[in-house]
Amino acid sequence: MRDYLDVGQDELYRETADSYGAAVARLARAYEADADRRRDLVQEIHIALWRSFTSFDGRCSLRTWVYRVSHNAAISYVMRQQRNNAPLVTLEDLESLPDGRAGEDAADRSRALERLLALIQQLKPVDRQVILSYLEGMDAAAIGEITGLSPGNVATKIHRIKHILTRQFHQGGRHVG
Amino acid sequence: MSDNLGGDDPIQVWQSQPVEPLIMSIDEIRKKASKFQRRIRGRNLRETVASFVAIGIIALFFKWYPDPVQRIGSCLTIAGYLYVIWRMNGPAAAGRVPLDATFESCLTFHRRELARQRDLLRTVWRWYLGPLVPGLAVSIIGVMARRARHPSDWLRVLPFLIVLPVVFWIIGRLNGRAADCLQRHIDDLERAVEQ
Repeated sequence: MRDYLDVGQDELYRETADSYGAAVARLARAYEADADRRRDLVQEIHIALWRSFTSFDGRCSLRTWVYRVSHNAAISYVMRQQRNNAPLVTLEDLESLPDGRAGEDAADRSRALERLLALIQQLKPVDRQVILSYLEGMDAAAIGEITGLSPGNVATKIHRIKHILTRQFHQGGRHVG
Repeated sequence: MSDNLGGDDPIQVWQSQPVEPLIMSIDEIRKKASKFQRRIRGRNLRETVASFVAIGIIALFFKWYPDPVQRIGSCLTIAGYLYVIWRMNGPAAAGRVPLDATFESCLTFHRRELARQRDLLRTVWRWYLGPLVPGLAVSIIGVMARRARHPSDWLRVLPFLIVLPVVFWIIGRLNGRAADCLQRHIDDLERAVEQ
């Protein structure tokens, strides 16, 4: 792992913006549907990241740090917006919902993405954080590091996520991790 | 496990979505960050300056008060304002969530912060209005004891004696309403995070 202790705040931020800019934009999309407000949220996250690098000590990976700070900035944003939003649900709630949309034909990627976003945006914060980390390709240990949840808890949630994705989007076919 | 989004891997669908990453120079980031910090500092400063202006006005009148009771009243009011300033900048000052906190500690922080603000609003009598009451009461008594030549003179101050508690009561009620509003926000938050 690269030694980040010798790297300055600005350089760390530049590196983060280059490597994780797209991931931050995707994360913001999962937290805010409105395009204008999403731009504000992305800015807030970038400012939080830049500020956070004054205290980055390399005890966790840069990726873990970036996701942790980004999620926290997004959660803080959600907390402020909470009263205007629809009630949020848990993974357990989604699992128990009738599988009404399972038979729909998600004809293209864009439609599939819309459905995935709609599913994510109605999740409660902790579940949203887990599913986003899962979709960003992180393993249970990394998700646990970001969320502070126990490995067992993360494993249970990932299992539920896979189950929900299968039920909500199953059209028969390919295998996912 | 068989799982897809209309034939696509959800992880692939998610990661390949078209997004426009933000392009901001370090200077822009720095400017926006310091603007944010200035806004926080400005808010705290405004509240403190308003209290010091009130203290300044009371101190200005102090030299024109020949009566010791009025002077005691002024001193008590100033002491009350100093207490309010200390509370606003000490125990009442807003905390900030550590940027790298884990998710759970981030939420715990938000809940604790909202609860702290709610409690401050509910106890506004104890730390904001209450400390000003002795000074104001002694000042009014001082003025009347000096000027009232006739019992009917006391009646002239009656409206003031009624209006002042009413104003304090309204301030207390408004703060109580704001506390109820925060409680609803806390309840929403609890519902949002409960597992």
